[in-house]
Amino acid sequence: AKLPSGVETPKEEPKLPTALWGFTQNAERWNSRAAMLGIIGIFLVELIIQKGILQVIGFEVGKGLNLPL
Amino acid sequence: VMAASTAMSGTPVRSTSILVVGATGTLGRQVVRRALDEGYEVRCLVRPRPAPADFLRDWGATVVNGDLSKPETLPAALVGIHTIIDCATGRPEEPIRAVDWDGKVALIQCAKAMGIQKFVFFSIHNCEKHPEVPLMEIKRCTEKYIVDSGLNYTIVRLCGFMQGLIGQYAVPILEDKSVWGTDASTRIAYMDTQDIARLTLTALRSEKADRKLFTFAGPRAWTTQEVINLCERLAGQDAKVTTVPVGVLKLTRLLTRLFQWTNDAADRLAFSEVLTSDVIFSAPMADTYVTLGADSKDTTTLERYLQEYYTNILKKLKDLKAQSKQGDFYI
Amino acid sequence: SQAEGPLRRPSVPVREATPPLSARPSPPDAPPSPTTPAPAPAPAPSSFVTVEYQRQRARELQQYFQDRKAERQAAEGRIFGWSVKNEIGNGRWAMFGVAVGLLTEYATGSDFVDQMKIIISNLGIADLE
Ligand code: CLA
Ligand code: CLA
Ligand code: CLA
Repeated sequence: AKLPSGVETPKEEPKLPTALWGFTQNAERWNSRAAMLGIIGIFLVELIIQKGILQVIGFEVGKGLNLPL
Repeated sequence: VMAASTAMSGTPVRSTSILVVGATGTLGRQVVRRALDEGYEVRCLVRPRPAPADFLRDWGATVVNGDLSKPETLPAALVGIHTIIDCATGRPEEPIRAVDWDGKVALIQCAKAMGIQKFVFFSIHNCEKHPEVPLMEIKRCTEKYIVDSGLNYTIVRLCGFMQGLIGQYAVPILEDKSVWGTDASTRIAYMDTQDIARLTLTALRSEKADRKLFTFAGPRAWTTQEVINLCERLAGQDAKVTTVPVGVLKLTRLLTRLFQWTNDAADRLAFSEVLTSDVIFSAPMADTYVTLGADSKDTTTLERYLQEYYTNILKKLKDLKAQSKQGDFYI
Repeated sequence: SQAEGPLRRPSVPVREATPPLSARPSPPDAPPSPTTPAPAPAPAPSSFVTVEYQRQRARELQQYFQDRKAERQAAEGRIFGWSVKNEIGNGRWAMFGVAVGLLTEYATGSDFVDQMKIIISNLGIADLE
């Protein structure tokens, strides 16, 4: 939208603190970006390595979750 | 330019027309009252409500619907206005940015475009010294925008209202309820909003106030402990004080920042940072009184203010065994 | 605040009734103020703006604000495209997928690629194992 003549926007915007910690919108955004990159990344890495990524890290896989159900 | 040629022909805007934004607030209503008493034509910008507060209309002001967070409602309210007095701020439960920044920017843009001849803006004392408090940072940027815009402005920085002390201290002490105090030693120079309104309207008429920044401070700076002692003395009974260490306030602020829905509360709690800096929230008023041609003896002191309040109102309430609901936060 | 009613028409009194320039609007009668004898506002010289000019500018500004609001709503309401909602939504699915995939891999030993193969086989799309 075009501003009418004779009016301008402020030169300095207030720097409000954006919380990075906790259950906030900013935290969710960064976590989601990391997860998006992560999921594609894990796919590609596993394609290349032909092994599970958790195995590479060192976890023992295939033992099942010992949930008393 | 088309603007210049049409600006001169037509019905002139009456120089006695004032628009008060935030007219239902503590300061706004006193400004409206004082302006009406002095003979101005006052228009009030209020938000549409299912149950409107009619006292403004009873006093004789014109009430116009508008909302700072909806800027498309603003231009229509400004037609025929000579002066704007802006006393508005966001409620504690609303996000600051929408009303106090975006809304004010829109209001200033409208004022500039529509040729408002005077813009009075109320800000906070020392707002440039505390950029970590969101409201102060916003006030600082708003001040800068007003100065840059080329409007004929008067900026008034305030320290504190005496009216707030009634609900916080005077009433609970009288009703034997517990009172919250902090152990901070910050001194705030509270001022009666009626005096602020009176001085503001004096500034409106004086050319020496054009494009100037004033700070209005009360006659004396008080700590919360001193205020509580004063109320105890006037009420004739002891207060039940719960002292909250400022550290707890800071911790609460940290916690409320963790969750999205409590972020607005966290912004308000940021004022606790100001409390710890051991400041005197006051300013020398001698020059201001000289510039405005007012007498410092006319300004109400806190003792006189509370004294009047106690003798007139609260004692009557106590005799009638009525309870005042002034502690209600969301009304 | 949530307690809003429908936006009512502004109740601004009609100002066109004042006759133009010939009879300048006299300053309003200064009411004898009961509290303090406040000085009545001085009969000011005519302002440099007219009501018609203000009205015209008001229309321009109103148009500008409405256009800006429409633009913002269009940007937010997009289903496909780079919007904030899309970023967060895709991110949520991705977070969920990462968490589930890692859990499944820990429990069963099949890595991400194997899991994709199993899904595709079981959904009947193709036979990959
Ligand atoms: C670290 C990642 C992260 C972060 C910081 C957030 C943050 C937020 N989310 Mg989000 N979300 C996430 C991941 C995340 N989310 C994921 C992965 C999903 C998909 C399931 C969602 C789906 C989602 C929806 C649908 C909504 C939100 C909303 C919100 C906002 C308010 C919610 C709130 O306060 O809840 C507080 C949360 C709690 C009190 C619950 C805490 C849960 C604890 C930590 C443990 C749960 C363990 C659980 C059982 C593990 C399951 C894992 C499983 C996937 C395998 C806030 C900004 C709301 C919003 O934006 O409203 C405006 C909203 O409507 N989120
Ligand atoms: C698909 C999901 C998605 C969506 C809808 C958005 C949307 C947005 N992002 Mg985000 N972003 C994403 C993913 C996404 N992003 C990821 C994965 C990252 C990590 C690199 C980021 C990092 C990022 C930053 C650092 C910033 C934004 C910003 C923005 C906003 C500005 C638009 C823009 O220029 O984006 C540009 C987006 C990118 C350059 C990200 C690249 C997109 C990825 C890599 C491609 C995904 C599509 C891919 C083909 C999907 C395949 C999946 C499939 C095979 C399974 C907009 C709301 C800006 C903002 O918020 O401004 C206010 C900003 O500063 N984004
Ligand atoms: C979308 C989530 C999702 C998906 C795709 C899978 C997929 C899989 N899981 Mg997993 N799982 C999940 C969530 C998921 N899981 C969760 C939340 C848990 C709990 C933590 C588990 C716990 C789990 C265990 C314990 C095991 C698996 C196993 C498996 C594999 C074999 C099972 C199979 O073929 O099912 C196929 C499943 C699907 C095709 C799911 C389809 C889901 C659709 C796409 C979305 C949901 C539909 C929606 C609700 C319907 C809406 C309809 C609409 C019209 C309204 C396969 C790779 C087993 C395995 O052998 O691993 C190798 C195994 O042992 N999973």
